[in-house]
Amino acid sequence: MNLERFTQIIGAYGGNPARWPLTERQAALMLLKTSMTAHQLQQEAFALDTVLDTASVSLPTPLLTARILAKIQSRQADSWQWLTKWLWGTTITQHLWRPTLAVGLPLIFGLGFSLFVIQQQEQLIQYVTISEVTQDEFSELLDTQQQTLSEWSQWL
Amino acid sequence: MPNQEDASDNEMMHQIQQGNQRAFRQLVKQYLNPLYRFAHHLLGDQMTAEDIVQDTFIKVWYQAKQWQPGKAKLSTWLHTIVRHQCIDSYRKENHHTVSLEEVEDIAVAESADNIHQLELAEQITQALQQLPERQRTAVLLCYYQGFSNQEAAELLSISIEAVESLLTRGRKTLKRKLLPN
Repeated sequence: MNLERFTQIIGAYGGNPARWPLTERQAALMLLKTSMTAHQLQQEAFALDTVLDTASVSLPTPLLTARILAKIQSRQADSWQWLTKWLWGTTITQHLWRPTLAVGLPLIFGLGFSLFVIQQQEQLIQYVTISEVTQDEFSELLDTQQQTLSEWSQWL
Repeated sequence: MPNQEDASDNEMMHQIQQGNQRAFRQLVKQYLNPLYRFAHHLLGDQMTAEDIVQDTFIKVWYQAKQWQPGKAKLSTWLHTIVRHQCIDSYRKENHHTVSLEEVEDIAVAESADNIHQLELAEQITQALQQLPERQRTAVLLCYYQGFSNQEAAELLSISIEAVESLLTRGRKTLKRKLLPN
């Protein structure tokens, strides 16, 4: 810490040591004890500090906290309100078809999907049955051919 | 190195990320006044400062997951949000600082001493308003908000030397305006 660096610190942070950089505070305080110039610089800085310290800002209005808390709760309520409003609608016609659609659409989709699955199952069963029949016929044919071969081999 | 205050802030934000309203109330209680002071000093307008602080807390509630512990101090993050909103607000509107006449209209029953205090406070506000935005922010953070030079450097995304340079120039200008003799 030298006078040059002390001048820079005072120039940037003011005369109050509490605002000086922590890593240099102790060294600056030591210099302050031994240097009249440093002491004078600090006093000059205090003049501006005193003025700046009078810039007290009024506190926010007491209702600000309540407004903030109300806002986060109203937004959550707003999402439900929007959904309810959309489902119910605003006109008499909308009162009828919107809830019906909201309930009916998933129902129709569910039924359609079930029917599709059932159909697929039936087709699979048919395919398996046909495969079994074909396999049986093939086995019979194979047996017949084997018999013929045996007869031929006996003849030979 | 994280200290006790950081650990407490981390836990509070973790709770807020889980949707804990009590933790959010604690956050508002802890940071409302400092953030309001900061916004008010930046803009020189009470109503806009309150709106900005309100928007900041709402943003924090709905975007709490954006905050990552260890990346930045909670205080730095909050002040950054406020600063960005103030910059946006300042660019959108021509800020009208309260004139001396309006201040005196409001303070009808004030004594002469109080009026003098109000005038001085108004002069300081005006002098701060006339600083370039980065000098003003540096002065507000380090002088009024209790930020260390390192924290201010993080918020402004500059070096500590650059912060000191901003502070030095800011104080020189303020001295010229407020202590002309």
